[in-house]
Amino acid sequence: MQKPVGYVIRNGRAEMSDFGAVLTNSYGWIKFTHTALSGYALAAFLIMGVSAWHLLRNNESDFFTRSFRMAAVWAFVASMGVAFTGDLHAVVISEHQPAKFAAMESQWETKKGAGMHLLLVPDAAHERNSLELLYIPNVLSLLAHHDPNAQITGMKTVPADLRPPVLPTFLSFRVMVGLGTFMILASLVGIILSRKADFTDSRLFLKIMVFAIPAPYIAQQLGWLVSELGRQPWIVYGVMKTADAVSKSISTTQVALSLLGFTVLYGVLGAIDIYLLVKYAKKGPDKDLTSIINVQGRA
Amino acid sequence: MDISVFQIIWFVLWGVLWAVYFMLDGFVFGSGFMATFLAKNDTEKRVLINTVGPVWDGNEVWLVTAGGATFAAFPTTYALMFSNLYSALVLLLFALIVRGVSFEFRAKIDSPVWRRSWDMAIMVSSFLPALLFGVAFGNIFKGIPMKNDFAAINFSYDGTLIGLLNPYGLLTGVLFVLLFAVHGSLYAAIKTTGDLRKRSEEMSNKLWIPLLVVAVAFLGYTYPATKLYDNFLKAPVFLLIPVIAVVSLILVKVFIAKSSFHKAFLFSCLTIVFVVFTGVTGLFPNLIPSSIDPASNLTIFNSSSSLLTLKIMTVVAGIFVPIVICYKIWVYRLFRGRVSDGDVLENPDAY
Repeated sequence: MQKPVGYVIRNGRAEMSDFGAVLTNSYGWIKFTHTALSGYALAAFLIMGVSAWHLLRNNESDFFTRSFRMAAVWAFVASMGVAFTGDLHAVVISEHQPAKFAAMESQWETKKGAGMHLLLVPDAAHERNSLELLYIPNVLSLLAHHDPNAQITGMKTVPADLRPPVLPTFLSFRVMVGLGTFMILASLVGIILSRKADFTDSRLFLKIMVFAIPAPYIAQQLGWLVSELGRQPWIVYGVMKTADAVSKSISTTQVALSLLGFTVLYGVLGAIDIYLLVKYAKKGPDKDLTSIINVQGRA
Repeated sequence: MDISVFQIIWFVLWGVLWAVYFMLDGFVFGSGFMATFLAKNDTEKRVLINTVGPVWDGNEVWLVTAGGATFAAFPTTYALMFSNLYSALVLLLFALIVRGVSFEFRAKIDSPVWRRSWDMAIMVSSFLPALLFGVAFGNIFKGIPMKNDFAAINFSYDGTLIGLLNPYGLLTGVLFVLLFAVHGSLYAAIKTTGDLRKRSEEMSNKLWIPLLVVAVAFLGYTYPATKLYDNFLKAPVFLLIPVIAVVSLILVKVFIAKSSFHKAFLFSCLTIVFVVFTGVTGLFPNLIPSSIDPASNLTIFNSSSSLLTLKIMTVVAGIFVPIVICYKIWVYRLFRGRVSDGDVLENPDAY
């Protein structure tokens, strides 16, 4: 859908012509490793957060210091991996989906050796940024093509009807990268602090780690938004537009009702799930290990 | 080899996947919506959930595979089925989501209101899919009001959710519900102990008569309502399939009467598989017929993917289906024992 490969248009449809090309699609593998590693980072941050909550209350400090230490290493390795695959991902995007890349960076002009503003406010209506601060030269070209003088395609070269929505794509991308950077730093600090004898005295850091539990969840959702908003108006990139892919036999009412249903269902289940997660996280470790041995119907 | 060989291979696999899915998830649906009648207290309800606990999600693999096989082997059918039957399939999906979550959440909080709410959720979310799958297959046997111009790639559908609830669709729905009710009661009979086991044994016996009545009505009504019998009249050797279904159904009763509940359950499995085979054989070469225009039928020939795709899928299925079957056999062997009240009372982390 993002980088279609190994197909031919035949008999009025896309038919697979090269299974090997589908299996070795770099876009797919980068996305897979990026997403899978972010899952590890998420799990590690959850464990660090729960451990920190108990350490703040002096519950089972030995147990939770150990779990925090292990999780911090996992979190650091996974977050670095997420950043590394994210960098590879950006290169593939700038090559195959220049309009998505321009939206992620809110880059309007085509430029060689493009730099990057750490702070900017996109203004899509006027095809410019209404505020640009803290410029770092050549960094965008370096990130996108691993070459400080490479050319970056600006949004102005993309026809207006083939542009993704710039503001939400840009914001999602920036906040995701910001949270990712925070996760790398927080897990690194966590590795260092959790090895010290007075770790439980680092109360501010432990509090931050409890509140950091949602960070990877939010970063994941934002990454998803970048991915899907950024490829608009295409559903199959460069081949089929989203507007052309709509089922004719489904009415708007049906879609609205099912969307409402999904929202309510997932909202309720999500609330219950968070409630149960909190309940079990507060409970702490099982003291009696025999109770976690599964006996259901075993002969 | 010619493409039609692969199209037929995938038609057979399509039927097998659905049949095995209904055989496996059927007893989970059945024990789910029959729980109120079989289990009389909280511990017994937990026992029932724990009998399906290790296997219910694995059973859904067959549903995913049946859907996946339709997508990969017959993409046109997949696209039109999911678009035309959108509302019904969304309802089905909601029910399947709620059912899985209910099993997991029910025992997590020790409060009567909490547990009663999830009991209600399990009942509704087990009954609804059983009925809806039946209604869906009834309508597929009968054909749905669609007009498809394959050359011009122009498809239209003139049905509604309420329109699916026609007498034949509903009868098939009731047939599925009763098949699964007996199947689920028999499963509970061979997987539990004490009063729960006794009640399940009696329930399977009580429900067999209504099942037989509905099965006979279904076989009769199928003649005027569908074209399923045409294939059997053309090639009478295939009549063996519905005959095995009927004989199996009778043997279910025979073994219930002899209190051989393991054998009764085995023949209940065979009944479900051969009921699905009967429908699928009658459909061939259609996957979903049109009720208004024979040229619009979705067949294995006009809706399949390319020869290359079918060949690759055959190789992939040849490798992975045996692996799946092996681990399923392993899981069912591992959890072959009965679950008693004591098992769930001693284990606070059980369902």
